[in-house]
Amino acid sequence: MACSLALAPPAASPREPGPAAAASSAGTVRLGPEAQGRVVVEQDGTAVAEVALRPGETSALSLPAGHYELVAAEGGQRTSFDVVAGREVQPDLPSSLRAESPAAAETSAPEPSAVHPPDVAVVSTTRTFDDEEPDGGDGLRVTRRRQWRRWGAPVLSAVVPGLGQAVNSQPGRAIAIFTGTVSLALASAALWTAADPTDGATRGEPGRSDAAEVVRLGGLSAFTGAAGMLYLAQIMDAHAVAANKQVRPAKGYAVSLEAMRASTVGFSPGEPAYDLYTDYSVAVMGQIVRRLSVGVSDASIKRGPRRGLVVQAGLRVSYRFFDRGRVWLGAGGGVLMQGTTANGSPKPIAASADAPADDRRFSLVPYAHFETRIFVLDRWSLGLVPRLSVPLFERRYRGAQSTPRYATTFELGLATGVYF
Amino acid sequence: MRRHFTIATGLVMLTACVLGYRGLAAVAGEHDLAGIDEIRIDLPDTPMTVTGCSAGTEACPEVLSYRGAWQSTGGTGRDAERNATAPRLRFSTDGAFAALVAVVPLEVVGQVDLVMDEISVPDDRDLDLRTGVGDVQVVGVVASVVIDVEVGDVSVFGADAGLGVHTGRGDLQIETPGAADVETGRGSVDVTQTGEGRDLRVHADAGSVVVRLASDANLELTIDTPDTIRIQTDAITTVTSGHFERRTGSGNVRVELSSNGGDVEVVLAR
Repeated sequence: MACSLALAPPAASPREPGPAAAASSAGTVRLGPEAQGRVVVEQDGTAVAEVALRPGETSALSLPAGHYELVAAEGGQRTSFDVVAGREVQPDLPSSLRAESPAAAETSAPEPSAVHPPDVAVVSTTRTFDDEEPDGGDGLRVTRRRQWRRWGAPVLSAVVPGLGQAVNSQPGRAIAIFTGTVSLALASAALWTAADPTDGATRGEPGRSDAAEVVRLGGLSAFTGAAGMLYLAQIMDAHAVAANKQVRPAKGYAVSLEAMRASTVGFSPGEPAYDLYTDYSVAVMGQIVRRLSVGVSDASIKRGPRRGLVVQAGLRVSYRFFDRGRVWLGAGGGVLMQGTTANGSPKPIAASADAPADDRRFSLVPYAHFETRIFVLDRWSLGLVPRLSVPLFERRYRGAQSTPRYATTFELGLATGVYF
Repeated sequence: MRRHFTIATGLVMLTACVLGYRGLAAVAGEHDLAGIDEIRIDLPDTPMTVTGCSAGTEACPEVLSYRGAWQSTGGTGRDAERNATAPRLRFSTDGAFAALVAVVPLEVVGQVDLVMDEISVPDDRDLDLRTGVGDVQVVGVVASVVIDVEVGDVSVFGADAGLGVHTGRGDLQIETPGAADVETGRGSVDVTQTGEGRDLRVHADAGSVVVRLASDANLELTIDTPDTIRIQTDAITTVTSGHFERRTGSGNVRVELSSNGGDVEVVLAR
């Protein structure tokens, strides 16, 4: 269970005072009665309670002494207040929560008297409308957040997809995530093993049909990408739920770090006639003015042909033309620069022959891209980045894979980014 | 909002392909083998068929000859043609040793693929054949033959002076009068001894082994496999599994057969 419901009895049935009440380090916070809506109480950015308020009701929370903030569940203005042990405080509520016609209320909430663990918030409420019966706290919900779940849930999700959601009391989502991740992984493995390593070994044998091979490679790219994105998303989701975070994308970020996998199904000489070209890279982007970011992108080092090395990096400009809620859309372009070094051609067998010098190549690949990003946490996004490029020289992927110059290339990038 | 997502979806559908052209260039060569005893042919992924002709006859000039083609890709049609002609096959010698290797410029590595047709050599030259992915067939060579293939079936008919074969994955079909040492990572092995009985070592990591011995006299036979061992010769008849050893006569012909997963069967060649 990621949260628990702690409903105090109505005023008509006050709590029995606990013997250890005097020793409590908790203070009392009263919310209402001139408010309506859902309010979240946060401490150090972590939600410790969520309360549904109704006009005319007063809710009392027993909270450990400390500094807290109040914010409407939908976001917006925040107000802060301090809780002092053994004292009662009635903080100002955010203006968006104030009821238009507050009922004149005569509130007499019971004193919270039981001793509670420091991470437990307890609410009590009193109906103030004479024509309503106390209903045992209907409309009130206090969420108890255990601190360990903020990080424990994502760690568990990292170990077993969906496990973090299970401890967050989301069994349906947990099952869906686990099933989805396993299915995608199995589908990827099936497509991977469907490759015929002897393809092209026999002269004149066409091997798998072009269409079947393209479908296999495309499916492999799609399933592995989807599995990776789902895996990352459910880890972030586990943390967001455990911390009861309202996702507010960090639009004002200064620097972002991004890891991306770009892949495409391309033609190759001989048999098999197609291959999957995949490139992993990182980018560091800075937002120089609102919505416009520039930075170093496509940075990676990989194994090259003939036991060589490929080093690449680039410059990228990106403009965010749409950002609403969790979704950002943007477009931009850049240029990827790539240097390749490899052992020279085979040495002639004569003992007197000189060893050939290492080969070196340089390449430029200009590109344009579109980006769709969805924020799973305030500072973490997952994105799809389709890209169109035309290499001015041959472009190297891993090993001996390369696409020739002027070969128009459509790639699909899957990216995860963190924003500071 | 809906329009944005329509555009995004369309772009996603368009992604993941490379547009370009394919090229093809024939390759052929003939190299003098006077004074050459051994030839190494070390080529990138390609099937190879090597045929030995009777050395010293008019119909068999003392040359290494071959034909094939380079296949290529390019961003333009002209580039595809240019790429296909960029690599070459280099023949070099050092004393009695000669080598034929492929020289592929770095700029076209990954954009060209070699497909060899028949390679012809006099049958008295020792051969050392190496390639990545490709079936290898050797016919009519009486000198020794060594073959190293990463992936591909290997068949040899000849190699009187001795045979060594290794393939990482592929079936082996051997008919030789010479001593042989053959192994495959994944695939079946079928060996037939012709002529006199010779030393033989066969190993398959995963696959069955069938051996037809020239003779079961003077044999020191050792077989290891977790699966079935079946032997039916004049001197030995057994069906067992695991480990089997038998010595006949002087035992001066050593035959070692093993498989990590597959049946082993031994019979006499008729």
